[in-house]
Amino acid sequence: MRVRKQRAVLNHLGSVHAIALCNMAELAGGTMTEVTIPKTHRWIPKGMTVEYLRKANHDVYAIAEPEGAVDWSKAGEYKVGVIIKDTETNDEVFRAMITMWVSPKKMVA
Amino acid sequence: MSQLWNLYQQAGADAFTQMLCQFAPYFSTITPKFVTLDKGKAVVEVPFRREITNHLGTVHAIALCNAAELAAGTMTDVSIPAGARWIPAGMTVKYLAKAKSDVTATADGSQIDWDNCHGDIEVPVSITDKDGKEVFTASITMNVKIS
Repeated sequence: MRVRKQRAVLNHLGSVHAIALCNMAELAGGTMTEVTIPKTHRWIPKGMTVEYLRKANHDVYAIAEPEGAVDWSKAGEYKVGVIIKDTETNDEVFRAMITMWVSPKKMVA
Repeated sequence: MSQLWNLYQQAGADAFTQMLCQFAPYFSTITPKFVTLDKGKAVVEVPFRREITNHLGTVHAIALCNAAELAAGTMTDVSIPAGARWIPAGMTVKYLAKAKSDVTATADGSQIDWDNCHGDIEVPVSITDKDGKEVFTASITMNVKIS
């Protein structure tokens, strides 16, 4: 997914705000999780670790991918890696590891 | 103390917040209100509003991250030695409970040796709901350079 550099997402340095990058990571990571996990399961974010690598001076795009295999038979952590790149320089500006808690949905009688 | 602290003292919390949101527009998304800004401590309140809710109707995880960044960043700015610079290098956050009310973010720098900090420092932030329940914690890594 892509985000345009516009005033509403800037910091005091005129680059894309660190937390706007976090928001992109959460959106990309969350929607990827929603469409990837089995229909029988649900997810909720538990936490994340992020690194700000460079100033984001242009439009940016995020790529979210699952990290490692998951045993769907029980509730557990589902790790999602997200990288964000500058669309003009193609430099990686941000990296996140989001921890999702994925569990089987409760059956409704 | 820093220019930012002087501005906070002179302008007062409300005008200070408005100016800060002009300089860094993304903070305005959480309509923050400063309660405290001092060397070693910052407290920011964020009112519950529909605009910052998630699909569950609670305060969005990233709105909490934004409040944490604001409290930690301003506290770092007013706490480091004169002439020093800082930039956030990363953070680790934990979502502990759903936030269903106004929330308060507190950056606590009481354990940091501000007069001798150089390189990466870890700034802890806690966010509580109206009942005082902790809903979120963060450890924000700030890179400080003494000029």
